[in-house]
Amino acid sequence: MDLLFSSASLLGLNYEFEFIGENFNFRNRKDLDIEGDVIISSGYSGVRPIWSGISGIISTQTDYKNIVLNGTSFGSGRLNSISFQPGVDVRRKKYSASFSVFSSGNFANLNQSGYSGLYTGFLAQDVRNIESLDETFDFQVNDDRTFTYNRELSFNLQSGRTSADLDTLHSKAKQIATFIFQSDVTFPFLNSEYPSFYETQGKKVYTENYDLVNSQYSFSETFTFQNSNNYIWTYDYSLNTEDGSETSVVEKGTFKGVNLSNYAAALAAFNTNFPASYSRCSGIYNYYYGTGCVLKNIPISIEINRDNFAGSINYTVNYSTSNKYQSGVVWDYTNSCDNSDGTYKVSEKGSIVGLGVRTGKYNAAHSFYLTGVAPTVGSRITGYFTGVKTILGVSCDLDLVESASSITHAEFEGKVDYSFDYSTDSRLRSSGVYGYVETNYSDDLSVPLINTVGILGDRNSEYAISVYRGNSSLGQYQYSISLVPSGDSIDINTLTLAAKDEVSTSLIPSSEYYLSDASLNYDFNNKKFNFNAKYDYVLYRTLNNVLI
Amino acid sequence: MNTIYYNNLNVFSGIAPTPLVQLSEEPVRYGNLWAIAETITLNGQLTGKCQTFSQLLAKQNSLISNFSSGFKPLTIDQDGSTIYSWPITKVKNISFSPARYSQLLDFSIVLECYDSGKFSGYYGIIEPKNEIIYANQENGFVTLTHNCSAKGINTNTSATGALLNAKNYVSTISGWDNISGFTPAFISGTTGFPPILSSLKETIDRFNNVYSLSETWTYDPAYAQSGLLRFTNSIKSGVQDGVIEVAINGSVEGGKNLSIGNVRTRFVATNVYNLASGALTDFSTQPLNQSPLSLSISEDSFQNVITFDYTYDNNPESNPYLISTISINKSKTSRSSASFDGTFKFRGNCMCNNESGWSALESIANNYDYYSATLTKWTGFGMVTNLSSYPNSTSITKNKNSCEISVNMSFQEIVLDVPDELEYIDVTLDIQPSVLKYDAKPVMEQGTWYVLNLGYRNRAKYSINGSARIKACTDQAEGLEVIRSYINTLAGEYVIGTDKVLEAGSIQEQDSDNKLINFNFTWSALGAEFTI
Repeated sequence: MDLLFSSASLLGLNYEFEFIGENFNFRNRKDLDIEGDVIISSGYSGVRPIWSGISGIISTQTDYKNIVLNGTSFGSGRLNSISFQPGVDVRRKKYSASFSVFSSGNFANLNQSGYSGLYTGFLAQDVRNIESLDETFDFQVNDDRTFTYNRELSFNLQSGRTSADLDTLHSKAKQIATFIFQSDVTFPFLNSEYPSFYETQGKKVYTENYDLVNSQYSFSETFTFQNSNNYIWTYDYSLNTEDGSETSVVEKGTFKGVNLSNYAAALAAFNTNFPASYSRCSGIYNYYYGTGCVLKNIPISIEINRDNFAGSINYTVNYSTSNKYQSGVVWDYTNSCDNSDGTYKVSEKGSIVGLGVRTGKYNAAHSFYLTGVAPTVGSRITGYFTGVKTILGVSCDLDLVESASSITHAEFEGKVDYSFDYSTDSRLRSSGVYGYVETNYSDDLSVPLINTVGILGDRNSEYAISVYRGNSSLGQYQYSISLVPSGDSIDINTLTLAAKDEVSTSLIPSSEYYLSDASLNYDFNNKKFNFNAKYDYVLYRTLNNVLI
Repeated sequence: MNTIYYNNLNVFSGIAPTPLVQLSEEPVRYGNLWAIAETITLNGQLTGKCQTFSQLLAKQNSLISNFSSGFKPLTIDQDGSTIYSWPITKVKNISFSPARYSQLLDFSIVLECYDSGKFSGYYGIIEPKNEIIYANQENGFVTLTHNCSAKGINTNTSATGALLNAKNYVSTISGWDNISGFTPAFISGTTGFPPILSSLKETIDRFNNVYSLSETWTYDPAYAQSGLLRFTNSIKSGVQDGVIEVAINGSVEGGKNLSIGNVRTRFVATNVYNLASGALTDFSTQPLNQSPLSLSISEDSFQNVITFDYTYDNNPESNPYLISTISINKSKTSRSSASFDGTFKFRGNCMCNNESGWSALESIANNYDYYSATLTKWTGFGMVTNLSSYPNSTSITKNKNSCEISVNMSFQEIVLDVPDELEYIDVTLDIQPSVLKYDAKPVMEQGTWYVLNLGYRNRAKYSINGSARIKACTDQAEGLEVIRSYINTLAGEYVIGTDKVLEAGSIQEQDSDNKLINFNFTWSALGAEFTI
């Protein structure tokens, strides 16, 4: 229904060109001020007819109607105000009113570089509905060298319709926002590194604000990106050296997907780039420390934090130069040397931890022990001892013989601990039926027999005369041998023969001797065999013989 | 005859002629036309015959008094019938023109009205707000914030209903049903399952009649289920421990509109193991052990939140499992030995709180072959001698509360086999072999010795000494018989020669410990000549 005003005088008309920003004339507004009278030309009956007329004008007043003045249409507009002046209200009542009527502006200059798509997009809409519109772009280089662009759009719409059409109005708002956000933005920022980032099909974060009553709308679009990839990858390194020995290189990184399936993009990027972490860390190590040492290609630790909802993967990987990181295992050992009573005890104590899961871990550790540790421990200890002797200034050859060893299997932990003890103790044997022998002997010497003639009865007088009788006393020589059999021979007869051999090779100071006594003792549980033999012997010496 | 009534009273009767009426209307727009604000101005004169100052003052007071009650109807009557009316008017102003207060006094009364018939929007409120804000969240949620507010106007002639009007309006536009049909332009994931109400805030300004409500709804596009589930995973792997651990830390939220029962149901239906296992699948093919290493669950019944923290690993051990070490000590100077040190335990929740769980643990510990496990390592270390099957020391501790059974056993190398009836037997063999007897004599002090072969050998002597312990479950007599038999066997092997004679023998039980047996046997025999 139109808004009809008769007997109206047009008092004023203001034609306003309205712009989006400074340059784009999106619509024009005519403000009309009129004055007129509600006139009752016949049937006067008090004020009733006048007020009935007033009521007729006002009751038809709804938003956005065709404004008709004295039979002439001024277009679709809205009433801003109307006022009926005081009077006697019998034949006429004066009124004044103001209206606004809208028409399309001129968007011709919107069709230029940097605004592509907006022209046709706006024209597809009823731009007269737009009360105001603001748009800003932010493009920012972040501290981590990623780029963030943020786009803010806000506008008001006037319905031009009744409130029943509000849903249509909201749909129009969505359409306006959509074609503005999706329009092809071609103008560059000053930073030309990524001139076409607008086209990047990345995951954009939106906020959408709909004021359903006031028809105010605002939208924002935020997008962080790094390059043409569909993920952002940031990482850093740290190098730590402890005690001038082991250096570790740590790479910490984050993958964040920026496409429509964030986490999948992050995961794909991780799978592509993480395997080269060693190469990167090695390069970093070589850059700062040179190529004197080699970073072991075994990650000491890996930690991954995954948030598939945020589409991010954080990781930390650690490499080291330590030689304890071997292929498949971590092997650490210590050599030591103790000197006690002229005997050197040289030891190696070590542990081997397998890599992998539990069972595979232990198997790897044990296998490494059998093939890489036990067979070569002798050479390591010998080499170590050679260095020790140099330090101590010991120049003679000293034979090292294994004296003890131990192994501890920790299958659950996948670990093998071991120790080897070697010694220069001459009682140790490296082979044979016994591994350890202790030999003791006592010699009750055979000495010359003399007759002493004293002076004045004193046999201790300096003038006493000793006369060699031509013979010697009977000597006694006793052997005591203790053997500890080696593991592979425990037969008592074999041990007895071995003991006899030890005795027979010992020095007996006479060719004339007689076995006077013998005993054998075998302590089975303590694996000790004791052999004792006693000889009587005769050794003729002259008076002036010097004893050994 | 025209008459103006306010509050159904002829307010100008006897005071003034019927005033002239001015009507101004201003559209009230909130995007759209919402209402028409009407301003009615009554312009008149206080007058009468020979009006004095005091009489005019009296009429002025009467006029003010007649309009002192606000929010009453204003009507224009003609000849007793209403030709125009405003049902509720707010008297905003009564002003009197400057005058001498003699005969005439101009006045103006300004009233304001929001006529229900001229409301396009909800009658009774102005300054409405119905705002919907959608936003993407970092964790994938989409939030919908619904801000509603209104300022009420009085629509009641007898009581102030403005605040109630505002509240009623907000009530009609708030709540999920009023926004469920709205969809955003860019943000996806807002269809399907209803969101939860994350926050709800109401603000009342009773003097200004403003009622506001802000409700935030949260959608979870990842799961179209009741409640909000979110979690993160931490995956750790190190060469030192060699085990991959997967921690899953998350929460289920029910917001304001779900019950804690709903949240519990959602959490219980969530397979945490699958979530952890699925996370590891992205980085490794290793399967996770079904039983978590640790777990914690926290419930805040008032905030409707359940938080959980589970840790799994890829340890393939079954449940219960054994952590053990087996050590072998080999010496060239003494007896070698071996030891087993292990703990049987469960992983998971209260596995021993029922007898069957504890019984299962005990059964496994009882049936484990500690000796065989140790013997395997013994022979694997290249040991060729035997290892006693009876431990020389044992320690077994059980703690039902902590669900652990610890076992420590030490075994020793043995040269002689130990009969089953004995815990151990220690034996020492002493031999004095037969040697040829000589006698050396000096010859008449002539400087020579005469060594005489006496022509016989001494009888060899054999002693078998030692101790043994009869097992607790072995009959004492049977144990003693075994010891005797054992000694006889040794004697048969080591007592060599002819004409063997048992010269002494003793077997002693101790009063304090009759299972500990000491023995001492001596034989003599004529053996072959012992020579070196």
